Amino acid sequence: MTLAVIVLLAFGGLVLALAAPNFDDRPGALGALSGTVFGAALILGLLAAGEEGVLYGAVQLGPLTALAIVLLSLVGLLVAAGATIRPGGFALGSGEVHALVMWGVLGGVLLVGSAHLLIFYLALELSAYSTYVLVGYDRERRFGTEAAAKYMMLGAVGSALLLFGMALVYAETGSLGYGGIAAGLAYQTSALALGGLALMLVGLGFKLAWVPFHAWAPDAYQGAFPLMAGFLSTAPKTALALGLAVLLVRAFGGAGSVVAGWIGGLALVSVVLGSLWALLQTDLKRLLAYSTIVHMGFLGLALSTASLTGFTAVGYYLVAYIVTSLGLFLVLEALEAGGIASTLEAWKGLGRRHPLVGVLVAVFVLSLAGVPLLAGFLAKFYVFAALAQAGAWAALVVAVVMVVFGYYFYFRILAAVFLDAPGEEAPALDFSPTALSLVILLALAVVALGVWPQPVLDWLHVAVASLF
Amino acid sequence: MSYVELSYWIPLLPALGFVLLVLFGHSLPGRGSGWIATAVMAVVAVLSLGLLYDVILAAPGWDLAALLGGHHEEALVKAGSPDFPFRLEWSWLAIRGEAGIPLVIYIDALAAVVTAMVALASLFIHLFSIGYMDGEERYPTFFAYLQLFSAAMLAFVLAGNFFHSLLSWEVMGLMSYLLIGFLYKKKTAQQAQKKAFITTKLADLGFMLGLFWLYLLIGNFDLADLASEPTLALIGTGAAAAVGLLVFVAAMGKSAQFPLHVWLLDAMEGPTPVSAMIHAATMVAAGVYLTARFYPLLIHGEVLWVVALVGAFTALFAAVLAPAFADVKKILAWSTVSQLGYMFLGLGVFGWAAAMFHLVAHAFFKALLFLGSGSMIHGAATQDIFEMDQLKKYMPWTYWTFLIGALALMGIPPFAGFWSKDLILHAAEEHATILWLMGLVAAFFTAFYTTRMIVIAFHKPAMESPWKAAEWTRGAPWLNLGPDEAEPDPSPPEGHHPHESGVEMIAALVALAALSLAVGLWGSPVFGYGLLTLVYWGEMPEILPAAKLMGGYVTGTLVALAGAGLAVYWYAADPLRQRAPVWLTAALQRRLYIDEFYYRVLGALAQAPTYALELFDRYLVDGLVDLVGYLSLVASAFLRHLQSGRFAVYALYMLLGALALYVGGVR
Repeated sequence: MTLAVIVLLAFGGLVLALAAPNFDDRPGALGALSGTVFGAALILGLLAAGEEGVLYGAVQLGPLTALAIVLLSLVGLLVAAGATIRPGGFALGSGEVHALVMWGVLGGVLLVGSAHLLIFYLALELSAYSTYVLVGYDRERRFGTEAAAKYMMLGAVGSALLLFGMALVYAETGSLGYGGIAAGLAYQTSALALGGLALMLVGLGFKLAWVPFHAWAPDAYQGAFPLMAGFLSTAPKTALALGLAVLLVRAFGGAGSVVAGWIGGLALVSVVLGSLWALLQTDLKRLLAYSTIVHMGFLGLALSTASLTGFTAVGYYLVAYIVTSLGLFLVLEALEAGGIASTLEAWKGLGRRHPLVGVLVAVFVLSLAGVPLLAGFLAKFYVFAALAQAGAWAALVVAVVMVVFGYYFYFRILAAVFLDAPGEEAPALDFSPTALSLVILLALAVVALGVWPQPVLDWLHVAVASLF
Repeated sequence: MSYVELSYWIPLLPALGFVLLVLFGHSLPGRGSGWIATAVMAVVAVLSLGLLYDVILAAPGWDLAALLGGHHEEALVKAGSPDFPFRLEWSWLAIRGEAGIPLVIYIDALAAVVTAMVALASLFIHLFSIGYMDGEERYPTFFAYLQLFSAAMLAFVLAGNFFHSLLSWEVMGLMSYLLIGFLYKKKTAQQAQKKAFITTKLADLGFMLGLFWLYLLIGNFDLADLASEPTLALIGTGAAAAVGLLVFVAAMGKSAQFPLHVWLLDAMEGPTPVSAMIHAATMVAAGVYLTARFYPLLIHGEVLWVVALVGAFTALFAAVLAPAFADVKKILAWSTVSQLGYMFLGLGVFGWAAAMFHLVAHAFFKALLFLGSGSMIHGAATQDIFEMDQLKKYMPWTYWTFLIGALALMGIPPFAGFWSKDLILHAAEEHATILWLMGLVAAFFTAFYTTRMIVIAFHKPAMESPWKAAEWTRGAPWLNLGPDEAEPDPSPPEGHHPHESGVEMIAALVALAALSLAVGLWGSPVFGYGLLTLVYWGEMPEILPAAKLMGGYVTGTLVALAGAGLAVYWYAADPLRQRAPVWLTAALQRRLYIDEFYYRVLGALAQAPTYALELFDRYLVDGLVDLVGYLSLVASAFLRHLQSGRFAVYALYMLLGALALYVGGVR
């Protein structure tokens, strides 16, 4: 099944890219095709959970890979549907968008499934290149191109550091396969290997936007279409977080605890500084970029416990974050398509002009802030539970305090939406019905996950337990 | 598909009804929302009765003769079904295979009986409300609230996990608050809802503290687990006493026991069906039910005597105060407080099954009495019994059904209260003579005030109400008597003639009268103590040898007849003649100054630290909070400069980060 998914996504992207010019006037048809591919991948992913073994010595089969396929296909499906919101599609052609999203998802799946550092690196680059292009897709705006250029150059630095780190690890252990590395690092960790691991973590932390490797994120988010920013804030993060969990358990062996400690430190710094940065933002996409940094920080805290509880918390956090964050970015996309910029200023009085949209925004924003009965609350709750179980009391206290800062900047959005009066010459609000139905579904999912998380938790538990 | 497997629909259906009515209630024409809510409750009632039937089939059977002879070991004639008590469980908030807080539905005989009682009482109260609430401004909202209340009460009864008991307990409190203040334009209703909420909320703290303490001791919230020997062995006697008493405080608040009884009289500001449902039949009995569920812990902590004492005193205290009042709902409210006291007395003297019998019997006859009073108020346009004009002539259906409820309350055979109350008195007699005497005196007063109410309201022509605007009620905000604190309720307009109520209301009254009779007989010796042997649990010393039982029944009946006789003798001739000294009437009508004490002394005590805290809060806490906020914004503004937008600087951050990691790792 996993092999089928890899082939399906690779060729699906190829077909979409080649067929694209003929269908540019009909973005709906391309969206439907792309959505079908992702739907098929999702179903195959659900079926792949029972597989065992390693594919060509490079891709590990099993429940965790299946989990990555399901989550990433879900993101792909939602983005494919979201790409049909803009009337007339994207200026540069919609087909390439679908193809790049599909290859980005493929890269993510391979990243998690990888059992070999070379595959890991190739998968990372596959996923990264698609996001470089997607960020710069809005060529009309100078800012978008600039952001993409900056993102790509920094990405190149990150990749270089990652490769250098891998080389050092190879020099120490003589192996690029996860099993061989783990065997080489099993007993003692030399300064050489530590250097390699640190450099690798920089490359990975870059993709996860942990402070201080985060600097590209606000610019990239601000310059991209909201839909692309949404993809950027979910798919690579999901892949990297799960991939890092795999590395921690399967590859880093005895050095895992050191790396976990680094992750905890980076995560804590991200939570604190990200929250402080977010306080004064007025551009919603920048604000959400910092919000992503904070959330990746919480996620990293759970990762750093390297425990079953912690990884289950990571899984739940990802599910919650995908539905919440993509929901909010879809709202931004639909509003931008309707001529309402993604700034607090332009959003003033949104709740009065369109109460339903206001309520949906409130559901997503409150979930991001972590209000009970919504998915975001339980996500943070499980992270805190994992920290408490690991005895990381200092990190726990800091994280809980920073949740309060989160309330401040999230509630600024709600205050603008509900309390401020609409501006004088606000354009008429035209919210696409496609977007509305999608967003309502996601909002329901946010509530359902927050009230009855048990089925998802059980499913995640099985997948994560296969790691240990 | 057995009814047991369907049992989760019992609380779920009214909750869905609530959602439905909140969303679409206002689009329904006329009485549509009322009929929908009633239909939902009818389905729930069918499910509950089915559940009760399943439980009766599965429950163990007992031989009455052996039980009465004291041979408990040989009394078991039919072993219960192996899966009884039934248990449905869904895991909730569980991670990596740990227990979390599972959602449990626990159905033993008691839960099934009380569920059926709540569903039936709620059904008929819904039915009654269709007509009674007609023309109210927020008609659909009223039924939406009633639905959510019913859902919470049913969830409370079926909960097998005290955490969920607490959740539904709080929802009940909220709905009680909202429904007392349903006529939100009345200032008295606003005051009353606040008083009720604050009093019960204060008591609820006990529930939370007790529950979390219990969790620290045994590591779960499971109801069935609390009754098991190994679990109780984990808890020391002192801790058990403390936890038990904390929970009992919450029960006292909910069930309006002295000294937390003050809110229930004011709660009569709610519409009459609310008084019948929440403040007579179901929610106030939740405290008794909770105490019954914590019974093993209370026995283990050796604090049952507190329960008995509070119950006996409240039963007597409330029964003595009731005859001084002229408002029919307030008389019934005192009566509710007093009867709940009986239930606690029963629990306190090991009469567990008797107390549960009284809970169910009382729910039906008191709901009947309250709905009857609603019908009287509807027809006579006043709540004052003196101003009611020979209602027996104008409202025969109401009269006869009300009489059935009243006889049950007084304890006249063969009505429900006769069977249930006397079993409690018996258990008390076994336990301590003083408790028994208190109960007997309370029974005398019960019969007295009930008969007084019937004679004056139903048989006598309308007359000037003697204490309307009596000077001792002026300027007494704590008594919450009217818009400007001493304004009496309006009298019926000149030339008003009472009229009988509509057919739905009469139907509800007749149904409840029949149910109260049936339940009384089910628990009586005539039908072999059927209800009691069903809920039989642990020791049951309250079922005494038959000979002694007969003697007891005669004493209780004689006392009740004496009370009733005195009331007829006094009030049939001249209802207005002042029998008690004025100072005594005044003191009783001011509720023995207890409300006033709370209002003045506790209010002042509560306010003094408030002022101090206010200063502390304004200058110190606010200052600190402002400082933190200011510093954060300054930090944020500073940090913005780090985000310079320059590629080279960003790359430098990455390299510095790598260096920091390496140094941190090598060290």
